[in-house]
Amino acid sequence: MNTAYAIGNIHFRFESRARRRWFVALFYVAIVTICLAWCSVDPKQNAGAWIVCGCMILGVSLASVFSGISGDMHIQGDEREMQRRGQAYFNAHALFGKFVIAALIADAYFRGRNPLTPLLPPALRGGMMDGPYALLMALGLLCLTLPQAILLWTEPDIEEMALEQGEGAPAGGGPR
Amino acid sequence: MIAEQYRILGIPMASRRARRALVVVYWALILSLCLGFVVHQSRHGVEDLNPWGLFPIFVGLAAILGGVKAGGVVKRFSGSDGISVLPTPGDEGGLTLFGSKSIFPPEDSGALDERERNERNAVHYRAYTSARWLTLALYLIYAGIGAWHAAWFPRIGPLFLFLLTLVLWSLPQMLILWNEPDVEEAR
Repeated sequence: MNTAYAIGNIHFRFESRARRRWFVALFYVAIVTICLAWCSVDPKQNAGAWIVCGCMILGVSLASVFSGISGDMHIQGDEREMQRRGQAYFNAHALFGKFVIAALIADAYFRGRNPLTPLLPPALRGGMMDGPYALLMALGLLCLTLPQAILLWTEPDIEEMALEQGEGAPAGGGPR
Repeated sequence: MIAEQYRILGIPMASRRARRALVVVYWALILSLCLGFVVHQSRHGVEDLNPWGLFPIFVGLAAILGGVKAGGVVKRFSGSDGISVLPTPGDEGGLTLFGSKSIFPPEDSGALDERERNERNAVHYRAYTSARWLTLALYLIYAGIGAWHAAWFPRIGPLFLFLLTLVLWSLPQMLILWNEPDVEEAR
């Protein structure tokens, strides 16, 4: 995990967990908004094409900032880093499994006979036929980012972490 | 990670050969379930599919291999260090979405030791990476089939989600069962 990110002369610092959590929350809100905008406009129209292009640029920029902060998840770090990474993957796997079950059950429910679908507007009902396609796309995006998001969300404040590591150091071994 | 004394239909699971046979049988079960899913869809359509009936299939099937609950061939993965929304009893050392310190004393109920936890995390790392490629491959196949024959969209989509769920819930267990050496050999 990187604690600083710079775009030109603008520097963003991510030592504090609260700030990282805000970033993760905003990232997912932005991704959902981009996906909804993408699905709801007609790219054949002039404004629609601009919106789709804007969404692509914004999505790629956000993804590059996100991967820049979380760092490369596949490089071999020290033991503590590897443990944290392994733990993040373990939790991501468990969460992703639950998301996939929820997606499958929601898809089967809304496409089958149920009291809610007839109440929806016809355009939305028609769009639900493409549900598995959208769900696979959303699950793919989630799968790509979930371990990094868990790490950013759960890693303690940098000062707190330094204190925890300091507690394990031998007495008298620190700087005087 | 293996519960040595565990037997399935009287067959001991201590030897790697027996465990690999179990994985093969499990895959055969997954593929027959997918076939059944397609047949059900083609006969009755997606409208007659009971979504709540799917849940016990996923959880029950994965429970044969263990990992998700205590008492399977593979020891239970979490219970003491999984992810939870708020600190709960026995989550010492685990990750919480809100709040960082557990307010409860640690609880030791057959939890994995450090070596097993590291092994479990490494297996999940491999399983997750494989699942990511599987999701991408399924998505591309799905898009390709849609471009070639759009009428198959409604049938293939739920099948792929069904397959992904079945594989995802049991992939780490399958990797452990396949790769873990014989118990005598390990000693």
